[in-house]
Amino acid sequence: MISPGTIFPGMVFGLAFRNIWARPVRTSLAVLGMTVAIFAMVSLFSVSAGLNRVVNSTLDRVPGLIAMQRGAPIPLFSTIPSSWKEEIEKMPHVTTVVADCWARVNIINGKTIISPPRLLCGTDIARRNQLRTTLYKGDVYEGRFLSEEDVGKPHIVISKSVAEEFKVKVGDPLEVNGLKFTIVGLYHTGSLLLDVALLTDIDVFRALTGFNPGIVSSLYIEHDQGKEKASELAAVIQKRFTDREWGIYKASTILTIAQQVTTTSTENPVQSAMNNLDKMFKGSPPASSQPKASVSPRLEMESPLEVKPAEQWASRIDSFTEDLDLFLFLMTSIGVFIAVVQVINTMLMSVTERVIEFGILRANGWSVGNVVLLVVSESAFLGAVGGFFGSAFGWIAVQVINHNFPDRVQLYAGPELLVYSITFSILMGILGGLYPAYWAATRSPMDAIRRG
Amino acid sequence: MQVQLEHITKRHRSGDEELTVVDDLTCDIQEGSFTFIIGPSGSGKSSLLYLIGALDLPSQGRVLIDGEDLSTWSSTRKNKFRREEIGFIFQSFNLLKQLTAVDNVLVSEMPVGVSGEDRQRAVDYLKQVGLGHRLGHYPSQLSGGEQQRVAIARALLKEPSLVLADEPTGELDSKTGAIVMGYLRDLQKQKQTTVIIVTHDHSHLRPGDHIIELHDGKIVKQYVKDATPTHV
Repeated sequence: MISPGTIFPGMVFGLAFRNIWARPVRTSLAVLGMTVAIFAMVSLFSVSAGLNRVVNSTLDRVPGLIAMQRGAPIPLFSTIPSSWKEEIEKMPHVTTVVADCWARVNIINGKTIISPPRLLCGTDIARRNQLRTTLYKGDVYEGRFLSEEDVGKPHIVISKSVAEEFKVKVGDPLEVNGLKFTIVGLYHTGSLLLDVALLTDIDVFRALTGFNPGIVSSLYIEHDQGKEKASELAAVIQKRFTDREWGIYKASTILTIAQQVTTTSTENPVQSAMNNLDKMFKGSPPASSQPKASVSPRLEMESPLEVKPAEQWASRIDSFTEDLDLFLFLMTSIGVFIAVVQVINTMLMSVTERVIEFGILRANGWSVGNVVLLVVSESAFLGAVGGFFGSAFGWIAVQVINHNFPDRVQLYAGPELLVYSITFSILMGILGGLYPAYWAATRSPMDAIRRG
Repeated sequence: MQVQLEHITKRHRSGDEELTVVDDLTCDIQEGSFTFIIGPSGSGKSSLLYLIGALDLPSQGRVLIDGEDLSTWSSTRKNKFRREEIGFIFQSFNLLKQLTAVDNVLVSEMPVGVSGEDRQRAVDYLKQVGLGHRLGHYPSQLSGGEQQRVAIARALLKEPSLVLADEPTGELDSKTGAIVMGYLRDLQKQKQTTVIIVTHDHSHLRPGDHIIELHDGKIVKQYVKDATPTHV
């Protein structure tokens, strides 16, 4: 029995819910449209969310400073004099500096590597083993990490994903870019960005790749300043190299390629363009390249060395993911626009069939606002249901992709993205219902009832 | 509730043509009276009813409800008037097909929130019109007479001072029509509700009823039916 005093304020919403399910086929089609749009939104935005997540989880493992050539986005593109390492090592508060050289791996055991990318890292083994951070070293789960006994020997430590892809184990040979190595250890960091590295001794790396001995790609700087003062120390180190003769990194673009094509008179222009494109996509500096070949002049007061804590390097990724988000938003907005038009169409069909009903409601004291609320609630329900299913299917798709391609992509559809998608879908539903609601509410109640 | 119509004219535009559906009509309907508006189709009966119910505005003239000019009321006041003081009953029942009998009775209360007490009253009124066993049924599961009784219960729930009925027995057989008319007469007698009914069916007219006969939007006859049956 219903107790007196119980209030049912949600009856308008209840009526709205019953109204939309009174026409199940039409409602289902409108919901399907919104579901597809929101599914696409969740799936696409999970790419940038996943990228952010991978970067952030990776940076948590890198507490020190990273020094690279100004303008270089990642160590692969950076070249700095190896002598700067000793100089930095002597600076106050610096405890250890590790020099690394990086090259893109194009072929492993005869297989061309395209995706996921693999990078060969020549590292200063002695210094790396002095680091407090346990990155790579602490992630070895089979065999061992590189040690003093590996200096000068073609020994290599690879990630679990590489080992699984090429079905190799500790002790097996591994041919990288035509160079023969022996696997001494397997590691697994769990980070898509870190697990791309194949680590070997820096001298071996130089000898086998022909990498300029006076050059390194990047420096990892460990210090005693704590996280709070890390930026200050980075600024001090950076400033020290302001007056050095060294260029900044400048990425190849289609424009620069075109310029080079037009200015290279002795070379076949098509061949020249192909060579430049090849350089651009491979991303690796030629093994025998001179540093000045890949640099540009810099401003007088600008240090050629860029030193930052890892999280500040990540800000470049943040700005990239912001651009990516904008692009993805533009992509998904096409689908969302179509879905909203579908909602408008569905709601217009619905209200034109229910003119008598609105007349009855107006005759029973419903205001224009009450009728608008009813119709908008119905379209909001369409948005909410579409948003829920779209988000749910998007989340499932992300889990399936992550499960099936763990080494290639790490997508992330977190609670924020799901809540945002459902909210956005509801708002789009409301937007789609406004005109039909206005149309319904402004019909003459008398004419409406007379139709009955 | 007293209803006064002063020189009411209502015109409709139909394409390039302007039709006068109510033409300079003046009359008083006393509080607690049982009034029939009769006349041939197109004589302006229903238009007059909707003007009284604040669902439409006259082109000229004034509709006074208890002395207040309807045209001066805000839309909020009119909505409140329709929600709380008028019970509308239509020929084609006009129930919401997606709602049960009880919820149809509660329709006017939905925007302001339905209390448990309201729901209990809705159940009581449905029982009063003989639908205690049909509370959870949808309109499609009810006969025409039952649907009209739900519409009457919907009007009764407000305990209105004015009931406006547009051909309430038009789609019912004579026996069911007589039952429905009986409910309206009981309401008028017990609560002194003013009841105004538009009808073609003169068999429902009883001695003492106020009769307004329209033709081409004008009153051609207005009288109180006496005890002796007469042909109108």
